Amino acid sequence: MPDGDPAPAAGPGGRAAAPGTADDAPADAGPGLDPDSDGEHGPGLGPEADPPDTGDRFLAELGAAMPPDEPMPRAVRAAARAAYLRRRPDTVLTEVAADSVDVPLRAGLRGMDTLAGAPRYVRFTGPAVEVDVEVTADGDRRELVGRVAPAGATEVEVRSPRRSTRHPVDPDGGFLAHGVPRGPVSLVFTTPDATPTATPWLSL
Amino acid sequence: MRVGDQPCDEAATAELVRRALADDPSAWEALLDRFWPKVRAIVWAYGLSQYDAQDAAQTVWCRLADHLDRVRAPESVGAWLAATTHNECRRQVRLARRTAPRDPALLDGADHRTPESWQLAADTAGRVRRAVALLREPDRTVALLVLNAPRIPTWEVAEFTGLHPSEVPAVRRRVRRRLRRLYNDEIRYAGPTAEVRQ
Repeated sequence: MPDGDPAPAAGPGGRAAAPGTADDAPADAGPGLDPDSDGEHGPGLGPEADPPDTGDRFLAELGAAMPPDEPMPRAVRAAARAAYLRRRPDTVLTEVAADSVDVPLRAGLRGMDTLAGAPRYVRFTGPAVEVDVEVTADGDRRELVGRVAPAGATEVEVRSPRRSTRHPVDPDGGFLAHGVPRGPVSLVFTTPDATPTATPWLSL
Repeated sequence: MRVGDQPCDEAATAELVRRALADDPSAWEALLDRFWPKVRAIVWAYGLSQYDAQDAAQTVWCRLADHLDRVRAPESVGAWLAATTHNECRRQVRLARRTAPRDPALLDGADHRTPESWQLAADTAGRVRRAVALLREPDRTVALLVLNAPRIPTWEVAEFTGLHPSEVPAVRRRVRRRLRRLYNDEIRYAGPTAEVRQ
């Protein structure tokens, strides 16, 4: 069994491509291939070709491409701690209803340079509230211009792992926040005599 | 299926969630440590820059912090984390394309600035990432877990994917088979010979 082991060599260009010839492979063996049809018909890779030990060796070879276990970066742990301390279980959580980042890029129509300077638009909706935010990037800082509807909120807290700032909301529901660090951000709106509303954390 | 340790460890996650909810920072830290290697394995698959990877990971923990208060089934936090990590990484990939204008040829994560001696390792990583990306869930997450730790216990895979522990061994075998074939296809079609193959 191990003698006939067709396990691929670890190195690129090794004997991994050897079993069968490339011409034997189905013409559609690309990204569109249905993975359910695999295995038994692969070149030289019958079900018997994969005893547990060689399978583990193959996985270990591929897994070596992944850096070995790294401790959590300090900034990530600090952010996790801050987010834990800034939990707001008293809030109603909205959802991301629309995010211009989710709109696929059409590279042929719009150049990357134009996109880089273009603001990002995000809409959050909750049971009785709608929040629109325009995010402009300036290096590692973000500028937020937004509006909450219906009007009535008096203050918005911009939560970020590194800092949390409070900004007034005008009578029309408009608000502004400058110099927000890149990374996760969440907004919490305070409305007199109502349950506060929070947006989910979103990487800006 | 490991009948002995599985219920015990699932209970451990649920217990940590409950304690974290009750303002116990040490339980929160324990949750972070428990799931970090798995979250990291998923983030790795997206080939993000160091800063984008950190932003995505930070966002995942921030969302978990807010999720704690709303979670209905504490033992399902692992599967929730896996799905959230995939979502945040996909979003970060799209965000990175907008905020960091670069040569579009570099956008796929290939790092052409690595020293010559690292190029082979980088090529392998790219192939593994592309092969993994062709898998569907739950295979994709299972693949990343076993690549990160080939001997990961069944109950840990089950906890992080939402699979029933009895399903895990079959999925692992399937993943190993598919991954091997997809990786070999990468060698054949996307390897160093791709340029001359035309």
